[in-house]
Amino acid sequence: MVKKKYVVITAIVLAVIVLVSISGIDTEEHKIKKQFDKFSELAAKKPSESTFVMARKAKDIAKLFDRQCILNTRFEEILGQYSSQEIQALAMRVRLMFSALSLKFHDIGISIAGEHRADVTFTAKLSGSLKSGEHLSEVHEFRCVLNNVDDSWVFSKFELVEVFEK
Amino acid sequence: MEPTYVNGDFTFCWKLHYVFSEPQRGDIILIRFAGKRVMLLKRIIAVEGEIVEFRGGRLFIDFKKVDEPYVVYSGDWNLEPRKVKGGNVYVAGDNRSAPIEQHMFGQTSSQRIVGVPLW
Repeated sequence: MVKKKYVVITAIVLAVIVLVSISGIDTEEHKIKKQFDKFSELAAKKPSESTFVMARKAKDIAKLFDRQCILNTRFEEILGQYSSQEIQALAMRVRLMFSALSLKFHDIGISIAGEHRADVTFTAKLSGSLKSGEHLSEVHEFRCVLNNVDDSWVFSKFELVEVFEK
Repeated sequence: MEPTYVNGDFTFCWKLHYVFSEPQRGDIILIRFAGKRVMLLKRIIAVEGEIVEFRGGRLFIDFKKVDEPYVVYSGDWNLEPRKVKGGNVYVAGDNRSAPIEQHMFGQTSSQRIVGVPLW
């Protein structure tokens, strides 16, 4: 009876070890999701953020992007092809507009299209307070493309999904 | 969608409504706006093949004026005639008091219809 008990416990422990090691494997999907988490973390801004931290975060955000990235949003200020330096400048400009900022990603759907490209759809929720005092809260669906450059997934295209056509 | 639905209220979605029927003009539907969770409540004002137009806040379908008793807060919308594409429905909210530029309306894919409100 005691032997049986130990066999069951050992089997459960082994199953848990197998499950943990399987979930711990860094699949390409996990790596891509991590990039979104990193983007969200870097985009967040607290009112007390110093200029030094702001500049460092803008620089780190630019590292998440490919050397050339296409941004297609409904805002004229964020439209066209951007180099990493331009992304950094844009991230800095946006941060300067806000006193507090939060960018969250939900419903991330990943489709790996070959070894070096992934097509992703996601929902972005941006909320924050502008320095003018106005509160902003926007939710939109986006399509984006990530390229695998030197074993790292980087954003190379963002496109707003237009739900309504007038 | 005011006054038909009040902002901040809640409802349940009946997803099976369009299993055996097609979306009709006048139906109130839930549309998937972003991802799986962000929905909009809108009314179908035209279906595929119909021509939509607004003149001084009045709705015209196929160049004929349509009576909209549910529109209590009307506006002065003007929109040139346009045809609803295949596989699409044309939707708008019941509250038309906001300027046309600020209102979220237009034609969208029928595949984005999630269902109808239960009440």
